[in-house]
Amino acid sequence: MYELKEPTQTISKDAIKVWRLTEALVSTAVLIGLIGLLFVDTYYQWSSWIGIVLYVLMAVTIISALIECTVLPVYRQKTWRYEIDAKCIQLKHGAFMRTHLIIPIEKIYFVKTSQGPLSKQYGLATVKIGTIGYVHDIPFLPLAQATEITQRITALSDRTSRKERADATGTAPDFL
Amino acid sequence: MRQEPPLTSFKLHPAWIPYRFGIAMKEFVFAAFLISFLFRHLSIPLFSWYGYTLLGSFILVRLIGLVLQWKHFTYQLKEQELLIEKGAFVTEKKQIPYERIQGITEYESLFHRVTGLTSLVIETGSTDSDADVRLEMLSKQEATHIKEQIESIVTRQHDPQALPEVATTMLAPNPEQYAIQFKEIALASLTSLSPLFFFFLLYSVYQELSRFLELDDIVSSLVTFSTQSNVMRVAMIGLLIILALSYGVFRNYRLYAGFRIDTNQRSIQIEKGWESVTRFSIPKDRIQALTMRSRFIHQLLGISQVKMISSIDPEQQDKNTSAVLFPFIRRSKALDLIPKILPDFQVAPRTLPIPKQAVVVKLCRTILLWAGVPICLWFMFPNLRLLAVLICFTVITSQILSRRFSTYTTSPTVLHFHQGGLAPLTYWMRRDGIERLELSESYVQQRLGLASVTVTLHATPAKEVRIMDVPIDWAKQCQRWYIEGHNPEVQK
Repeated sequence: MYELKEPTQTISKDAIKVWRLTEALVSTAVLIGLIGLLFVDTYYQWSSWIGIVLYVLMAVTIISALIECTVLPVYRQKTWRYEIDAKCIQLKHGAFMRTHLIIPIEKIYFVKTSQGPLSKQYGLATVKIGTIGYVHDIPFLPLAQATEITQRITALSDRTSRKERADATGTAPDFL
Repeated sequence: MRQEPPLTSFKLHPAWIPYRFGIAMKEFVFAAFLISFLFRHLSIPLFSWYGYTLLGSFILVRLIGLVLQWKHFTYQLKEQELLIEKGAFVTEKKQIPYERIQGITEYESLFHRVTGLTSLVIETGSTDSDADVRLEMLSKQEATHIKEQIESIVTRQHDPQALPEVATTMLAPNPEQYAIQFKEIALASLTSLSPLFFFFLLYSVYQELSRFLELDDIVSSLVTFSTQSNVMRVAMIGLLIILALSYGVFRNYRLYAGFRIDTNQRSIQIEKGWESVTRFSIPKDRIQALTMRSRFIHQLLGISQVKMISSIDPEQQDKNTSAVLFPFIRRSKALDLIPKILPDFQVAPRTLPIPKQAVVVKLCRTILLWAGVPICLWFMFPNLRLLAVLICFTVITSQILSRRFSTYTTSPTVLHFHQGGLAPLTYWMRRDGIERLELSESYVQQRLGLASVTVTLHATPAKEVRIMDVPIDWAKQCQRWYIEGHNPEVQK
């Protein structure tokens, strides 16, 4: 008999590096933008509150970047779990705020892998699972594993739809 | 066993042309306005040779377009799909697979009644405006034939055991399951806020009229006339109240007059209307969830409104669909009728309460509302201190009430959730209609052994229902119920 398993599969360790790098790049870009604005502000003598807002924004960016670059990626990578079986996909992450998502195979509309430039460097890929209303990610798996998962989900959802069709025509499904 | 569906293509009734022409009348009025505006600029009188030619040619082009559209429009009921060919100058073919059909609406306006014809709108549940199919001006036999054809095909696809002969006998509508009574409409309208709309109406009428007429004198003389004596005053106020109340009744009567529900084995049909009749039918397995709510005084009287959640977007304009299953019904009667009409939605005999410790989580979650906002108000606006106390009190009470009166349970087919408190709302969600299920535990919830279950329904627009602060054991059971498909209660 089928029983719902606790998810055990983990995502790649390299995910930490990719998250760190992405965050570092994004924060630097934001900081450069803010500094540029600060220069413009002093040059054209805008009203004083704009300068204060800019300094506050910069402080917030730096603090969040520090957290995002140090603890957060490790926490995320350590707490991410997923599991794929014949009936459903489970995605679980977080420790302080634990979320555990279940998507039945028959509700899946598409699966695909996607690779950004950074994850390509580390040979990682993200699996995107689309249902009618939402797209769910399994982030940063080794490319081979991601492709394997995509194929497996496609095969599984093919089988469920074939089963439905078989049910409709009244013939017994061939895989039982 | 399988009867061959007819493969000939059908046309619409020629009355389609005048029907569409009538609808296009608005455009003509608009065009006439535009032309008259243009002519005033060119200082040519409108009712001259030019005016008639321009307007006439506009109408002619539209008419030719309509005739061509009618000429090219055909429909064909194929084995797997409905095939539509249409277009005025550019023709297109459209295939609608039967399994994508979410519901069928039959619509009869006054013009339909005069000609003895009817219209069908076939819903595909897509958000694209071109996605639905309109078969307008069909004879009644044709319409019933199409409906039966589609329903029997879909039945066969879903339920291979049902022989076509059996299916057709089952498709014959049962005697009505529910029909609204005038006194229900009247009672519900009189105890709701709808009479207040009378004053909006009065105000907007006044606004519109004052553009053309000098109303202020009339209004002030009316006011002086009615405030002459106390008797007059009382009479005027009484008159206004009576008018408002009857307007409230009339308003709901227009919406729900003749509301009745018929069911057969596979679908339910909702008929309503007074001057124009709509019959909306939806397969039972396309109804993903039901909600029941009651507002204001209705709660004390036990009157509630039951709605259906499905892939058909009820907000879309000009569709004549209905999301309302029972507009105003006694709660006990609804609980009695729902399982009869929709056997999937069996009401569970026993519901579970939310544990006492959940109050802590609820108060932590809303700390900004009951502490943050009032404290800010208290110190920043000393004259609003009463409001601050009031906000604090209301938020805390509503959290306590919601803990006390919310209940939840699962039955083999549905997840039942009743959100108690100031605005009670009940959900029955079919298991097959749930697109995903999320279990989440915040830090505080983990300490107290609680969790929240968020359910996303397969509907348009996608709907999320959140069952907060249930025991973690039940949440885990609910996960298993969702995937393994048996009732945790029974298992235990």
